[in-house]
Amino acid sequence: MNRIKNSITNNIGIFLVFAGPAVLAFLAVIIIPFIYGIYLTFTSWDGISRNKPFVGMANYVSVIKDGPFWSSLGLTVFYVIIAVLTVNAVAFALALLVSGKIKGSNFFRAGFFTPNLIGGIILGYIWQFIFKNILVSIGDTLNIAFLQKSWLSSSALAFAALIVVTIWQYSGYMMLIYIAGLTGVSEDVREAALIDGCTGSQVTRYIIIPLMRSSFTICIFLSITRCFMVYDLNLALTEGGPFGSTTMAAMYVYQKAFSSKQYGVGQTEAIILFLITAVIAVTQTMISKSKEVEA
Amino acid sequence: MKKKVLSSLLALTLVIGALSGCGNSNAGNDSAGSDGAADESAAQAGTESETGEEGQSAEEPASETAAETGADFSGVSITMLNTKSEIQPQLEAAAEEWGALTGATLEVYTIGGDSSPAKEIGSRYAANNAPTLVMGDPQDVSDFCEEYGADLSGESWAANGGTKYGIMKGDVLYSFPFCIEARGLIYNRTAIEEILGEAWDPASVTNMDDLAALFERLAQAGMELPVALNMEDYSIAGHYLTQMYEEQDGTLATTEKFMEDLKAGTVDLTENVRFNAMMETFELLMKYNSNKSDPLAADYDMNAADLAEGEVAFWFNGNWAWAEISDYIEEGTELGLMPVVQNDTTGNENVNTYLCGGATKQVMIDKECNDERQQAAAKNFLDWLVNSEAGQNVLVTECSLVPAISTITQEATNPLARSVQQYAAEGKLFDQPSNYPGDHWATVGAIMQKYLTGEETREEFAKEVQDYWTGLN
Repeated sequence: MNRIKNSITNNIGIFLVFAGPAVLAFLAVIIIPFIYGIYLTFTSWDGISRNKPFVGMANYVSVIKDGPFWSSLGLTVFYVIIAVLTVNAVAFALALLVSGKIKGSNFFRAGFFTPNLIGGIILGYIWQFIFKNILVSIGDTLNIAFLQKSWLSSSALAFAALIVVTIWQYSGYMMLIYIAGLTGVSEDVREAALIDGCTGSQVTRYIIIPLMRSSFTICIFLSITRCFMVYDLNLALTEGGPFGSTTMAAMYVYQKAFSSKQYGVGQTEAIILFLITAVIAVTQTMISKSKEVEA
Repeated sequence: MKKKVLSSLLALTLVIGALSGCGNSNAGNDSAGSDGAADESAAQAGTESETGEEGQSAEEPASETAAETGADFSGVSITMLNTKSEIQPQLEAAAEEWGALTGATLEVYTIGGDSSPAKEIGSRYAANNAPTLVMGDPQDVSDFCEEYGADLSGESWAANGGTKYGIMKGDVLYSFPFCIEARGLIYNRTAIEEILGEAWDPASVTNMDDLAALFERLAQAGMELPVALNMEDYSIAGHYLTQMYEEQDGTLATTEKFMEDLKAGTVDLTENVRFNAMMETFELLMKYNSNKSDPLAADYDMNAADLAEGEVAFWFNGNWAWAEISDYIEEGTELGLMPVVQNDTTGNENVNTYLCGGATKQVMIDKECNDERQQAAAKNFLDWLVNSEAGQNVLVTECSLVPAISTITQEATNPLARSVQQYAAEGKLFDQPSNYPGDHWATVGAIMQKYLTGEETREEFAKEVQDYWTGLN
């Protein structure tokens, strides 16, 4: 009986029954298209024809020469830096606020998390309406010059608008992770620190945060990868405007592949985007993990 | 033991459920599979599958017509991709009617607001599940009609507008021109006459100076900014700027040569008569733009409402805008469409009397994923639309379109369509090329938005447009 239960085939059988669907989905939706995509980078396919002429490395060469791609990538990096810093700062602050013994803390947690449940597209349209109509009419009635022109009409303010909506969308999600991390820090350590004479903020800064390193690792990793690949928010809020000045890398790739009908080049740019994101994310994770304290 | 069996069973159900969903995806090649596969590919293509079978419709199939309604296509099932989402209900009804006459089933489905025809078609072909009738934009259909489209040169309507407005490659006709749309300055005659306090004849505006004088009079009389301009890239680059290409001398050959020259870099737009004349008029429109304080905040629906209610007198758009305007307009308001008038008519004397327009939706019949019977059924459907009274009703009365086939003589139902129909009947439409680069309206649109807001001068704008063309490979 025992021998049968521990045999490899039995284990594999159990694994397949429970994890099978997920593995299948992962293979079908992520791995196989990825490999097919790498194959497509060596063709000059236009997205619809049956012919996929093989062109070797020509796509990679043309991507290196493609100025607008690198500038949209640079813009995305800039966006990621600002977004990651602000989202995590706001999320951590919210987590601290909500973890105290205030009434209705569960209600607040749910409330702050809800924006994340609204998909990026709808979020973008709601905020587009706010920026274009609500803020402008507030500006008109109260005569605040700053608000009278829609934020989405100027390049710099449209970028700021993107950041604002990103913070609104992701803070709740990161906040939950930080809350989990906060509750994981044992009360004893905190009490010991207070007895030893630390003030509240010193406790937070020198005791809690270092013990929460793993939460920070996770949150920063998630926010980096999500912000690098931003598309739905970009599309719904600014559509890359005004004058294409807020076109992030993913949107540029999409336009290249489908509007300009250069699927091969677009796919190549997508692979490059993936590589850059992967390198950054993995590096960040490795550095953070090496500094984590095993409590 | 019981728990283990139960949980294994549940997990097994999940696996089987997931696998059965994938099962039919490649059966789309035969006619029976196309219905089921259409649902399957929902995951891949994210489409909305509208079934035509919404129960029996109360209306009887229309009067027996002389057309090929006798043809029997029972059991044949075809699909149609409709990229004009505003006429989806009407097309579904038409599909039912035709289906009742021939015994076939036609399923019409449309795509969501944000999806573009090209992407939808691309994903359907990638899934080997292309619809039988593919309605697309001219440049999209033009790209793949040779590879995928059936030859329609012998159809009954080919000689009566098919070859004129459809997509031809060499001598072969590949598409059915579904409707004619033209663009220009939509005017609200009732509003103008109210403000000026006297009768006004649109024919009195013969060039840009007349238009400027009219704007001045309107401004003095109380309508300070009588023009509404859109900010959307497709509106200013895809609709307005393309007139410049098409009006070089009004013929298709010259327009296409002009595009070739632009790609080769031998054109200087600042020296081009048509460019300067059109941009002068555009600058006049910008000066009296009701959205002048923040041109990029212009709202399409607000512009429609403003025109319909008489807040502005002119709107640069096309006859398709009737769908939005009709939401706000009062009975008895007179609307019409007039050309974008210019001062300089060198090289093309008709710019102030002709509209720029053509068939904006082309219907192609797919021959790769649909068999002979399905193609024949699809051809029959198009015939029915053109040659039978019921079909003509669908096009002209129900969908409010301007038909491209000259044998359809029914009068259009809305004032804008009537305007366009008149210009088309008199032959006063400039030809429209079907091979603009796919990203033209998006990329040049972004550039033109800078010009619209005054961030760029006309010379800088011309240079950037030239750079766009020479940068195409």
